[in-house]
Amino acid sequence: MGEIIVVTSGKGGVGKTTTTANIGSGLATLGKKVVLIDMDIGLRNLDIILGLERHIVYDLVQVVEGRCRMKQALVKDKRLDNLFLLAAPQTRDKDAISPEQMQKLCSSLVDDFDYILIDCPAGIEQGFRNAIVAANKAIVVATPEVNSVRDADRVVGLLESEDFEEIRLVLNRVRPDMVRRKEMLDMEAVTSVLSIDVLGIVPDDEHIIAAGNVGEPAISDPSSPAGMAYANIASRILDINVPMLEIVERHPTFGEKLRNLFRKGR
Amino acid sequence: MKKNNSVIFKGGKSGIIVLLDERASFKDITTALREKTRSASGFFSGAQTSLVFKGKQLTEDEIVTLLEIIDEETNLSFTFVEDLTGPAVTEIAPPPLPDPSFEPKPADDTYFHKHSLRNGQAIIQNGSVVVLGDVNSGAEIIATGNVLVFGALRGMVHAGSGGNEKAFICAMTLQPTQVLRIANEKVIFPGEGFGDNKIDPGFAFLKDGDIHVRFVADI
Repeated sequence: MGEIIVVTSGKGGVGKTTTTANIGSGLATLGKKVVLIDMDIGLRNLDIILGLERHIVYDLVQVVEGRCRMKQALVKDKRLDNLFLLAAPQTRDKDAISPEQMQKLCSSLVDDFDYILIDCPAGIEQGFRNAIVAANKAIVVATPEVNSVRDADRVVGLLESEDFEEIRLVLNRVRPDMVRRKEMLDMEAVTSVLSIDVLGIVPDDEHIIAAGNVGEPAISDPSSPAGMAYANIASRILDINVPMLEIVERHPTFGEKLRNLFRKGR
Repeated sequence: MKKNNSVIFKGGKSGIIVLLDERASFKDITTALREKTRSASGFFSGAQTSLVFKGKQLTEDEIVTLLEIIDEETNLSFTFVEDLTGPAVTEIAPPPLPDPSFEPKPADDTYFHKHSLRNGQAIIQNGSVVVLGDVNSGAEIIATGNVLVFGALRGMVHAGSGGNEKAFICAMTLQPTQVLRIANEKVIFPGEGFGDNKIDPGFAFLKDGDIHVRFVADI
């Protein structure tokens, strides 16, 4: 029986969808059968990050309404044979599905997959309620900003009141230079407020934006530091002990400095 | 003749206490006992009671002698005789009187919250509140009594919300990023958004219309 994990944050734009896509790809790479459910109904995004936009015919609401079969709606990933996507409708809203229907939808998948990752919409209203109802584990994504941590704290409180078995933190978009200048919260400041286990730390990385635009999750790019962090997170979900990636400022090497000087001179 | 005070009778809770002067000779005591029992025979009007000798170390024979005197002079019947040896307990320091201004509240007026209070969670209590955990920014506690936090206090707290100016706020780490209120006053804790300005442990109280915040050790 598979695990159902919701990826949530409260605040929007902190990287829930990116995290879902990358962790899902990571778990699939490690040999697990994974389905990603985009619960951001009306603001469908996960398919774009995965590069599956043009492959989507049916969505999860059509499955719930019995207008198509589950098999028809599950879209297989371009690269990984054991990664699937269940897309959100583009033209409906969050009330298009009820918590009971979501519960039923997930239990119909739980026997066929090792992991069901649910991409939760921002906010704490109906869309959030629908996304968390079937899950008993949660990954809370936060960036090292006071407002993001504040919203994450709200979400953790709501998850705790729903008796979640496991709530773990992914701290996203960490910039060591800003942490050093005390312009950004450090890990300790975040965990002292949230007091939940840390699943991983993901550095701020330009590769993420580029990868999202071409529909190739950064985890498939070995030169991406964020992709490496997501690969470690996927391993940790499988209880493989991977040390925390030390996020260090990258100082240019002597050769790079020379090259930069040369470029400036031109 | 000097009045013989070597024997004093006292009515105790569990019977009659016979206080004997430690310095008096046994002869004086027997004389005094005979006089006292005779003159105070009304005091011993036939009740069944217990008898306690206090104040002077007595041998068993002496006790028997004294009991015989009492038996001759009164029609008292004893159920129990006790000899408390050692010097007379002349004066016991009375227990300190309770401070009349202190009004203990029934225990159920204090609410114990055994978790952290997160953003969006609130406690409204008619009485005091004790939190065994943190109170994060965005959490609210409104109490007519005191508020104690065994953790970091970062959120909004209003103590003495009914106007109680004696209410206080106490936290292991006082690190509020939001307003603190006591009775009808408020204090805006200095510091920037990161909330790195903190007092641990800290204590906030109202004095002369202003909220003061101190290290607990400085109070």
